[in-house]
Amino acid sequence: MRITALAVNTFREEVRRKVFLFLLLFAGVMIATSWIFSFFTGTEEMKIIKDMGLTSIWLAGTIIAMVMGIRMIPGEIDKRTIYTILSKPISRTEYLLGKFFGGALTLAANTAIMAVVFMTVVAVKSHQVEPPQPVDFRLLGQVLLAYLQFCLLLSMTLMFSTFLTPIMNGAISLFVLIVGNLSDTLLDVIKLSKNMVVEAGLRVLYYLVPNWQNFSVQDALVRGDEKVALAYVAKIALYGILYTVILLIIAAQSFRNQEV
Amino acid sequence: MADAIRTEGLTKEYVSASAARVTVALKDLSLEVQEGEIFGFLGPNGAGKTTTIKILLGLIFPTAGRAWVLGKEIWDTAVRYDIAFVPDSPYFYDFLTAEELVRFHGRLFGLKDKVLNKRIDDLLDLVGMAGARNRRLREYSRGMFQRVGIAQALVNDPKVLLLDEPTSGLDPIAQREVRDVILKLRDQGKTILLCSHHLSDVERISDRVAILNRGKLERIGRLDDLLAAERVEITAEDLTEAASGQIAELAQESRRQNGRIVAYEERRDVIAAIIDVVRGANGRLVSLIPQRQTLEDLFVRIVQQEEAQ
Repeated sequence: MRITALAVNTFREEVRRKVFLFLLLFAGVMIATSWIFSFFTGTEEMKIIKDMGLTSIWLAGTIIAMVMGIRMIPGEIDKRTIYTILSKPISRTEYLLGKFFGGALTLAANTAIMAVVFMTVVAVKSHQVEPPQPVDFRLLGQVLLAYLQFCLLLSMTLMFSTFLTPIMNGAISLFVLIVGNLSDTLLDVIKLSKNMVVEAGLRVLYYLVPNWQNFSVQDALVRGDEKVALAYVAKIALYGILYTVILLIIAAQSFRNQEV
Repeated sequence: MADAIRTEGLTKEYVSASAARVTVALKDLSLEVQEGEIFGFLGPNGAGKTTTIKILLGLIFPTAGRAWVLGKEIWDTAVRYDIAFVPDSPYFYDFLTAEELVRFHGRLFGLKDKVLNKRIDDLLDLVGMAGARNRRLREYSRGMFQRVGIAQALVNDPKVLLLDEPTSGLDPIAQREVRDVILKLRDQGKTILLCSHHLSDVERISDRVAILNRGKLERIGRLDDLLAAERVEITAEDLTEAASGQIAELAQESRRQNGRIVAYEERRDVIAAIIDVVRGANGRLVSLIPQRQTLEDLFVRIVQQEEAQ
């Protein structure tokens, strides 16, 4: 009940802060993409629409998740709104979870709206192009994975915000995002490394940082690869949820002893 | 009478990042606030009042010492079911309306909508905000914020209220209304810890007060005891110049007025000595009046004494 009240309030805050204006930008990009590239062949045009759409969803969600996670708790401490909340019978863990679920709800609403716009454009264009193509609903699997990635990013920035300044949080989160997107390259570098210390350091980095590449089946989907299996999406979804839970446990431990 | 709030040796120190400097915000504070009283908690800025409140609310943690509210130690989250807090500045979500804010705070106590609807109506009426209940807080004046702050604090029907400058930013009429609300709450049996720089208000409504300075408890007690006459005003006439000079030297403070000398003194032996001087010079003792001091006098004296040291 208390976590729900906090989550709903956080969602309301983000809505009233006009976070959803991002959606207008997204819708604009989608609609523009659907007619700008109409001079390509049907198959090429559909590939571009899918690619642009999924990338836009990923970019919008990533930015919203990062900004929310970095700002949520320090913003409340700065404005001292946290005083009147934590002076109620709310544990620090409940407060943190309320904030997280409020953010996750905002991201869900955001991603869902973007997914509807995206799938509508895909459905309309699939029938317009020559030759007409079937609508690939597996694209929604990628949207789901992207959403779980946003939640993971939200929990990570929330965790960092319990002991880092917003600027440090932004810098480190961005670093983790970049390194996590280069996980496969990092593995290659580890194999090539001749220095034991460097290799050990890189290995620690490889295992600590979430492998964001796991969350992307975009290339395969855009290519029309039939091998993208539901089992893989489920496995990565579980990976994302587990990682998120672990980060939230660390965040709760860290926040429990923080003075506000 | 049972203690609503009790602290034992409460101490809060802040260590600088380099550990080179330790700032003592609160030093060995031991006090009791009894159930059903209005307790004035006073001190200049930086005296440790807000630090104490933040410790009682679990927002910061004491370096040493312990504290209890209604018999429960403060680390127990359940304590906060019976506490309300009104902060000194409008620290509320300004994207909410007054109604939404009170409802949100009610939900944090697990109150259901059925109970909340009635309570929201009553509370917004009580603080005179019923007419502005659907306006967002960001459109409010400071006084309106303060009133909504009181409404949200009362949503759980608390037994103990911690009020940090509840009348700051309010016009005189609104100040009086808030004062009346506080008295009404005391009549309902609630315990109120009141921090305020409006010393005349505190003097008017408090049962007991504590004065803090630089983190240390300087005085605590019933107002009548603390403000009881210590200083005496001595007026004498028909004195020689030498006798007048002698009295001026002996007394803490003196002035000449229409051929008389008016001296102020609180040490009993010095008062007796001044009277001896008047008698010895064959002068006339016009009056000897005990002076009840105001809370402001006491407050200023304590702070100035500390600064002089």
